[in-house]
Amino acid sequence: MQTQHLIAAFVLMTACGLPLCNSAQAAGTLSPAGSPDAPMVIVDHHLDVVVNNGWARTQVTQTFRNDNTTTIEGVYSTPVPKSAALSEVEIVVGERTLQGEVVRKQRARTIYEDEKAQGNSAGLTEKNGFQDHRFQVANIAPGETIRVRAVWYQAMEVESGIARYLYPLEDGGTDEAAKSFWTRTEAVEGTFSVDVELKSAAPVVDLRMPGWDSLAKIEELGDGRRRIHAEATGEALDRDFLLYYRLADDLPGRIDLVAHRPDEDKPGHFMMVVTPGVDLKPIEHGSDYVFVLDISGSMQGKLATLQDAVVRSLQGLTPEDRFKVVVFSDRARELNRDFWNATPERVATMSNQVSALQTEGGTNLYEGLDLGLGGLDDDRVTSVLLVTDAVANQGLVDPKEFATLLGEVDVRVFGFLLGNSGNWPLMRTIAETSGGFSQGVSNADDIMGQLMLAREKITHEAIHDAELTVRGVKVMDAGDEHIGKIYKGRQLVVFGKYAEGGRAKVKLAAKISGADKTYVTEFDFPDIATDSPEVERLFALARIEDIEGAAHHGLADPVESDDAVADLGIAYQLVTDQTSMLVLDDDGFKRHGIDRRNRDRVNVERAAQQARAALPPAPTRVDAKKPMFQGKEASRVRPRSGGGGGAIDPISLTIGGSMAFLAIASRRRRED
Amino acid sequence: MKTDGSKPVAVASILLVGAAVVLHLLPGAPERFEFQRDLLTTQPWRVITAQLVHYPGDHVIWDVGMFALLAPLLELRDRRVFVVTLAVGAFVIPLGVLLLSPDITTFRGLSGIDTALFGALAVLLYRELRERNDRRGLAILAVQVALLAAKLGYEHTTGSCLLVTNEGWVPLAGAHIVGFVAGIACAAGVQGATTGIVRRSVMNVRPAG
Repeated sequence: MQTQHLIAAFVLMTACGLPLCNSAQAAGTLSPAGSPDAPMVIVDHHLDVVVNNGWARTQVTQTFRNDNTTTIEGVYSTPVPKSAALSEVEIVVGERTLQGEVVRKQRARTIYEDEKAQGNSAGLTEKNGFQDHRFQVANIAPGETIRVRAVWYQAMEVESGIARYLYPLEDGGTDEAAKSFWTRTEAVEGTFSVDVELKSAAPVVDLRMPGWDSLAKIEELGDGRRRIHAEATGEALDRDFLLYYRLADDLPGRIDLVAHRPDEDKPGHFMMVVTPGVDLKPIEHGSDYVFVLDISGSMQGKLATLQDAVVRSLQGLTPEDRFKVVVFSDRARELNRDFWNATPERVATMSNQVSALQTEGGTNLYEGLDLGLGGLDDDRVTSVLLVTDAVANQGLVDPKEFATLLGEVDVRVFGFLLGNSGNWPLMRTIAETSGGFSQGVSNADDIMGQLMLAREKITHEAIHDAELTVRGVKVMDAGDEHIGKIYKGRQLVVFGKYAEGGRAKVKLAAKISGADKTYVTEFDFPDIATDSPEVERLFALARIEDIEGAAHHGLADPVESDDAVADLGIAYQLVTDQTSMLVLDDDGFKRHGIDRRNRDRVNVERAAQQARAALPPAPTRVDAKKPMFQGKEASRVRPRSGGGGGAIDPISLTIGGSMAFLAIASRRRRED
Repeated sequence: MKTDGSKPVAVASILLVGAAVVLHLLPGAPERFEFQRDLLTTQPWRVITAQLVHYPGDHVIWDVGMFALLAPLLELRDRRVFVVTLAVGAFVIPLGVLLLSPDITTFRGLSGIDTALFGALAVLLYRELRERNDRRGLAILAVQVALLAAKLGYEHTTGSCLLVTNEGWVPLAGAHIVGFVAGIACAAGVQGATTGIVRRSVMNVRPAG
């Protein structure tokens, strides 16, 4: 229980305090610092989201206006959503519509610059690493209004029956070079609206939109269907939009399958979601905790929150637990050299030290982690809580070095990445190498949401040494069968291709506290399935992340990895670090000999979306006839600090029963 | 309720127990009716409905079990005390949660009402036993009240239940103490008022002639 306090307080404090941060960064139009041109005006901003069972389609439509007396290039920047596949960009200039096709990054840049130099209308969308998506539109005439529409897909994060959708707007401020070069304008002149259509096969019992609840009108269209509309005027694009929804309690452990195979002669694509129905017990014995805290200059404004969080977390420990605190900026240092038992005196001493910390310098994450991993006790379970908001820019920064470092020790690292535009690839490498997990914390996140996402995973047994196999159906490109750990409440999401439909036998072999467990089921992969073409792009994105992850771990040649990412990006039309979305008119694509792959793909997706629009959410569970798990999904997370219940127990009932007996006896005596 | 020639039936108690059981079994109902601090202004009715819904497992069993035991006894003994205790408890117990447990964002359960019923029944019993000068009964009652108070104190201090697995929720000892006090106050108040009316009525009676 003390562990729960620790993590709960830690996450709670980081989540609560973030809104206090001095971040003025946001999504918005960019103009070069010192430019005589007025920035592009954001006339309106419309967010349209469809959450369909396991994934979300996000469409953002914005209108911009050039108030200058000269022709300018418009630049718009927005944080990269985590694990999102940017798939469509369309620009409407007057009566002309330009559409996007994905090509190699360098080629896209060359063609765009060429079109711009010739005075043609053109657009370009690039992914700037983990930091932002940048949209450029060439040759916007004086007084001209343009409309830009972008679409991306992403798999939904569902943990302990709680789904979280994030539309990131607030910039993380991690790109120092961009900050000094560009002046950002994030004000929306007109309306900022949000429309969400939620379609879930499982009943939805609750919704939360922190900061938007009072503005939102929610229509209930059925057990798993909701339509949400919210709008405001005069908003700035400086706070994230977050949606949480809760599925009904006591759903069974299960397997869901969404497949797409329109052609009998070609492999199909699938998304398989395993929701374990396994009873995982709380960890009760004392543990070691290492806090590794970023106190670099970019943490200014967040440090007070972190200090408070650490102090509150330390106070949640018991003397059986031990702790160590490491801080890093340009260099790393320990606040206590050896592990301290969490006695009240030690906790008070450390609390004073932590409270006196000041921000300084750059971010030497490697040295901080290296120091935190030193002097561990092999006989005790150790968890490292790594909290940072920035990019490693001092000392060793190569992800391979981090993977090597973590491969040498047996600890779990739980990474909390504060704000948007954090270095997700590096954090993912760190967490996955150690068998831990990483979690983003948006400034818009609330206490409930954060606690629900983190606490119980750390404080309960995990399914470990897990291996998922599919037999009977030939499955390809589905990643490694060795899954490793599955934390309480987490789902296992597998994307892959399959040769042809048929009966599949799916087995999850794993261990829980060292004991072997096997879960088996059988179901059919469809021969033909045409409802969900979007699964193809989600599959490609998952493959790209796998390839990039392997490169970060030093397991793949970087050049070959880049080529593989580019090939996938072009084949499935996704904006990646190696590919960009070039936006031209039909003639432009013909001039440059570019195939209209994305137009064809978008047409198929739109047809499927229109067919689905009027229908209720389709059930996706495939193991109902032969359930893989006998138990229920991990119970709804109710944070210890958040959920209140009763004090009635056998003792109370005994006291109550004896009083009832006394009352009955007394009445009888009175009647006698 | 009592009809001619029939035994009295604790109708309100039965209906409330039935409602708690049905709401627990109804998919999604606990989430729809539980108290959520963030929804206090938009869905204030949840402060009342939250007391009829429960978390799965031990929580629902013991809370509803205790209510099923005490509520009929109180209802049949003094319906006015029963109704006033329920009505007052239903408001002051959530108020206790709001004020005494600021970090609690959600709550469910009949336990606060259970402790209010316990307090109210204790007052009625005390009056009966004292009127009959039943010292043994009074001693037993004192032990029962002391045990419950000690148990609430334990929960208030430790934040956990004695025998029940409370993973995922915390016992709201502060609110239960509020419920216990409210039950005592309601019973004493109603009985005191009744006694006063009766006394005044008796004093106003003058011999005819």
